Amino acid sequence: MIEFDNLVLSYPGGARRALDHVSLSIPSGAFVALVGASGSGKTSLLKTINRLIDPTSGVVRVDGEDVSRVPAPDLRRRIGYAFQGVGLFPHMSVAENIAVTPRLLGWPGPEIDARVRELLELVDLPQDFSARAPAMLSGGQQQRVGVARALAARPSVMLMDEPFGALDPLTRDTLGDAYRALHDKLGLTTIMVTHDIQEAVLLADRIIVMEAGKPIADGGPRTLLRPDADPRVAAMMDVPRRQAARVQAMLGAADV
Amino acid sequence: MSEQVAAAWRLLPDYLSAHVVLSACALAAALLIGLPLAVLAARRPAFAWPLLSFASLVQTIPGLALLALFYPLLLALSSLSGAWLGVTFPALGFLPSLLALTLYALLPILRNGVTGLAGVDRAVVEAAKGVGMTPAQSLLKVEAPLAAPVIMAGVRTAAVWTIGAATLATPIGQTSLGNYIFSGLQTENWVFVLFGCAASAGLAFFVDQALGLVERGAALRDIRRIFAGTLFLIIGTAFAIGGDMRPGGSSYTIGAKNFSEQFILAELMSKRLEAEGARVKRTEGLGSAIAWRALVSGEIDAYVDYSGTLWSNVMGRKDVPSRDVMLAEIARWMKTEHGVDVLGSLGFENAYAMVMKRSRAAELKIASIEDLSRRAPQLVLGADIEFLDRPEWAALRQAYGLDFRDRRSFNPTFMYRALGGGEVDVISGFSSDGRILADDLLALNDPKNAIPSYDALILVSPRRAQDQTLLRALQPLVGAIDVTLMREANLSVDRDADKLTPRAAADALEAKMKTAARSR
Repeated sequence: MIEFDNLVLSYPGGARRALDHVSLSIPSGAFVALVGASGSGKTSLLKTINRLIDPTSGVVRVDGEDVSRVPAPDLRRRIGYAFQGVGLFPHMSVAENIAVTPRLLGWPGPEIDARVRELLELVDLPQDFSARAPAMLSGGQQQRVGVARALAARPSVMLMDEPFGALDPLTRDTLGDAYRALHDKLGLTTIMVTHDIQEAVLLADRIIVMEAGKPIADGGPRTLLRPDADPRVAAMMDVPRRQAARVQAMLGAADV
Repeated sequence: MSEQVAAAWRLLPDYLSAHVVLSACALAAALLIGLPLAVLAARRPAFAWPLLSFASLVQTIPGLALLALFYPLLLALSSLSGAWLGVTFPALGFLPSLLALTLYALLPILRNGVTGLAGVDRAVVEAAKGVGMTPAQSLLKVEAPLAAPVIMAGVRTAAVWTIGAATLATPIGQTSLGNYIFSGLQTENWVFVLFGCAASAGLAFFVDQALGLVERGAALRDIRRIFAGTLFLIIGTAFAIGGDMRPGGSSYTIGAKNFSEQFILAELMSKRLEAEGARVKRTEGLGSAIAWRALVSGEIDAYVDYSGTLWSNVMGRKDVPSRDVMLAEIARWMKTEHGVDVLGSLGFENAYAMVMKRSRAAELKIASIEDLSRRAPQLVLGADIEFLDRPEWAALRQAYGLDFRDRRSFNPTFMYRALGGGEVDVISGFSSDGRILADDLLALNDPKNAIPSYDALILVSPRRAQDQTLLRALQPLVGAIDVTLMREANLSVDRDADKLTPRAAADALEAKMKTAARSR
């Protein structure tokens, strides 16, 4: 359960608020996509959850606990975080990257080793990758390691900031599906920022559309795809539908 | 030549160990100060600009000036802390050298530290936060290892600069490989100059290679390279320092100012002390005022200074009394004001003198400074670096109204060269200088007695006033060296052919002293 209560984020000298009185509630087990244009506040909202950004006012609660009362490093060790830049530590092996949070938490060595093996399997990477340097992996493999690292300490909440944005479409699709399966298998609560409406529609149970620091629409993909939605939302949601229709048309033409 | 090289080798353990200790301490201090500052500057860019600007500013100060500036600074601080806390510290030698070199080494460490830390991929830093590292953990586990190659490159630069600049510590009384260079320059002993340059370059090369190994290891994350490089440095340092761990009795320090005669006399005094079984260090190449201060504070135990210098520079006297009155007054003043003992005069004078080529003086019909003053507006004066600021020059100008067409400053050796080459017509020479004999020069008369007499006096520091070993060793030198003996000794060091080291000249001088004493 993640709650945002009247969240405001403004920067000194900033003309408008990055987050403008946001109140939302996300139940455990949900897969939520945050979508919106650049500067709409979707990434800022995500980062208030693990305190990479502290709001100007308002409260964020994770499982009922006000996150501002938890030391940020402790909070982050309990919450998985994967982002577009991946940020694997280049001076550490794949295994060391995955093991980093359990090590910070002081897990015993054998338990960490077992967890690393388990995670490599979970993200579908061969065990002999554990000794490799991150630079030797492809982009998709790197993000698999990134997801494994985020999951290492068994968090119940995963924050993902355009995690597959830099990957080629095929890899993006594969990884998206694989992650959705992990989400279901592990019973995670996932909040994913994406600018890709299609990805949001295909992966998430619930889509929150952000604009100018506020949610302007919030609902299941089907609800938002209905033509009677807010015109801004409809325009945005229309993109995947039109693309799908065009692809369909071309495929149909090719069949003839 | 080979005798010169052998002489240089004998001095190596002493000079090298001092040089290594000084450089290593300065580099370590610069690391201790520079790395935290680099972290601060990388974290808070507002600090980066003033810090880097300050470090760059320090770098623009010539090394020698930076080292020299710490002397008056520490002297003032020492007297302040002495007055308030009862604690004084030496303003000469190790401490000012260390501080100046530390400041000097700061720039590359700071600059590369800031660049290295700022150059770490932002995504990696964000990931370090995201996985739950504290700022300290992020710094130690992620940012520092990733910035290490760039930081190490800065440390390498700092090490090479420090080792090079440490040769400049010699004039402020810190023994270093610069002792070869400075004494070599003064006595035109190019073997010594080259030896000093080669030794410091060799040292810098070795340290650079060892640090390069560490840098490479940091870049490749190869712990063996890092370990090997560090081991080389530790062994090298231990070897350099260990070379000087010779057994010996109580240690004396003999001072010398920055010209040949002083080097020879310092060697002569050292020889006599060593003959008494004492261990002797030399602090050479000191400026006049610095040598005196060092004696009073006990940093050197004895050195030779000249009555006229003491009279006008140290005592600040303007009058020129007769020689006996002056000597008696100097001895009284030194003892009562500073507890310094004047052991006695060596037996010769080394007075400032207006010196010309004999042929040129004849051509212009000049025999005295009186004659010179009429011709001065057409002539160029060459002076040593101190002379034009000394009261003697003011006194000369006042007495004779000397007004030259131009004035140039040289170090003493090059001043004689300039006179020989005709670049200058008159120089501020020294009456005991062997080159007066060798180059057929003329020291002009001083009919108005404007220049005070310059008897060479052995001065003993207050803390050695009752030291029987020192007194037994140096007492026999009083009255034992006449001006001809000194000129010959000076010439043997200053001449181009068949040049002696100050040590060899001191040997020869001592032998001649014995012969002279027997024939008396």
